[in-house]
Amino acid sequence: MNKFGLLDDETSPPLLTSSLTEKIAMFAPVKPRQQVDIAAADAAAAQHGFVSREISEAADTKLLGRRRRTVPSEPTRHLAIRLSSSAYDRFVAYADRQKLTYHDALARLLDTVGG
Amino acid sequence: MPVIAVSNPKGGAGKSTTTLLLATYLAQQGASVSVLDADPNQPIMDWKKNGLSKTTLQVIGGVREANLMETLEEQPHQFVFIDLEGTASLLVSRSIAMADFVIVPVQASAVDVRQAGKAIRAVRDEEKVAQRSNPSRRIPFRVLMTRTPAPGAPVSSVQRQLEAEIEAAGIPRFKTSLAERMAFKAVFVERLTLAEMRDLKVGNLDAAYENVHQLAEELIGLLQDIEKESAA
Ligand SMILES: Nc1ncnc2c1ncn2[C@@H]1O[C@H](COP(=O)(O)OP(=O)(O)OP(=O)(O)O)[C@@H](O)[C@H]1O
Ligand SMILES: [Mg+2]
Repeated sequence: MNKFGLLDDETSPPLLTSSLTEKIAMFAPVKPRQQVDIAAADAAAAQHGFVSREISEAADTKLLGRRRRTVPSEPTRHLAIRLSSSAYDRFVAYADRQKLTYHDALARLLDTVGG
Repeated sequence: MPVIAVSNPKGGAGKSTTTLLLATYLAQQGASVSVLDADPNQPIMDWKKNGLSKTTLQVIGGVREANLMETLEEQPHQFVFIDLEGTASLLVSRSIAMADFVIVPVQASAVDVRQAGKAIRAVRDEEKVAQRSNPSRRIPFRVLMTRTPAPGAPVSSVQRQLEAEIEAAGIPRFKTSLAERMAFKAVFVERLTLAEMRDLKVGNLDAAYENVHQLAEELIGLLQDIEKESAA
């Protein structure tokens, strides 16, 4: 304790917090958004396996030449699996190549082997 | 109004945890904050809708490819976070393309780091695309190590090696990491903010709070630098 009876340890945390609040106050709420060329952005992302995961009938028919159900016709259940990195990478790469969601990719693989 | 996208195509890397902790902390410090829940599983929306938190944080659910841009433009907030799903989707890459800053949470596992590489390459490519029409456009990002041992606990050799690899690859990283803490799990179980869990027994809440405070300080510092740069 110093002779003024001030404890540095006790005064510093509130100071830290108030300075954060002050810094926050300097951010303006509204700013014009970046203009984004969606088509170009999507094309760049596709190279890294970023594809649409949204089920739209039109897109499905185009991409896969077949229709997928937009609403599952049966109850769904959850399956969490832990697998080796190499198997993981193969599965994800397969789904990306085929532009399938993971559940559709698994179903496709089962269909293929008649499982 | 910085838009902060939180992205790693690897599931369970800590995206939603990071988003919720930072967003609720900034809201508590007086900021106006919203989270766009762009994960079809809607974890943040569930937290807000089915919980009793009194946070001022606004959560916008049901964000999809078709309404992302519009929803972003409607946000009157100082900070907008986008919690993304753990997969490589167009919703993720578009969010990155529109973001002012990207946080890439990574757990100390080889698979996480490899998948984070995907997010980082996407950020860099989206930046290049954007620079065609706006040469000064930047999409800065930082990797955030998550679920790291609490201060004082031993750091695994895997983690040390991965940190060294990230360093060697010249990938920018938050100095602060998010430790593995019971309190960080509890925010989703209790559907409360850290501050609102004061009376619950959820591990070392003070240390958890301090961790988030440090991370928020670092984030705000980075965002200030970005704003300065873009104003220059
Ligand atoms: N720092 C942490 N301390 C303790 N538990 C954590 C921490 N970070 C994440 N978790 C736990 O790990 C799990 C996954 O975290 P989280 O949901 O944040 O990951 P995610 O990247 O959003 O996952 P998804 O890809 O499924 O959206 C959750 O059960 C969460 O409670
Ligand atoms: Mg999540």
